[in-house]
Amino acid sequence: MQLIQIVGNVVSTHKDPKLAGLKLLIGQEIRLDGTMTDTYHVAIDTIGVGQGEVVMIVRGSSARITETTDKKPVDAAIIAVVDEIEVAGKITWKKN
Amino acid sequence: MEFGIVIGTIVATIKDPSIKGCSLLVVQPIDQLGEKAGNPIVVLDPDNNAGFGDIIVFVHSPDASMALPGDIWAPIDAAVVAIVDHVDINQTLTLTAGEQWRLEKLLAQLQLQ
Repeated sequence: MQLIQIVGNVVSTHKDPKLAGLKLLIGQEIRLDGTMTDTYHVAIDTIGVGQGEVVMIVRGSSARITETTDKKPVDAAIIAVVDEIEVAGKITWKKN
Repeated sequence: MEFGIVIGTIVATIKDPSIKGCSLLVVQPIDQLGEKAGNPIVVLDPDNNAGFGDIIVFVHSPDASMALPGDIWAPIDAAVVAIVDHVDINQTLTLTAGEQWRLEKLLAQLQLQ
């Protein structure tokens, strides 16, 4: 699983019918200290997250194993909201 | 399956119900010789057995779900399946549990602010 910070929405009128009603968000992968990298991911929101939040995404066919994404054409899903990252006993990032 | 070293943890209150009660580890993937292999990722620990500094074997595919008890399918792509005591290749030890210097080297390579 990867950690990303939500930086925007992906709005799409014409999309696969199975994706109707699902929220597509775009986020940038972060390092363990919360700084951003140049890698972007588009992922389906399965838990209801907001702009600026740091979240955990699952990629590949595992992304289909949520109630929201079951049997849908999806390969990235947001499955958790990160409160805190701890590395080597130190908190390197914390939610405001 | 791949090798990794546990370097930290993630706290997440809001998460998919299927992974409640499992710890989320920050893992630095390493190769069979203990060198850094890519960027850190989050790995689920179904038994909550692995801790800071442990060398682990983790499944890095949708099959990670099989590591959960029972017949549960969960949206995870990485899960701990073993904690390594040592690895030998051609009768030479390449990885041994508790190598503090290796952990410190990998942490330094991350250059966290």
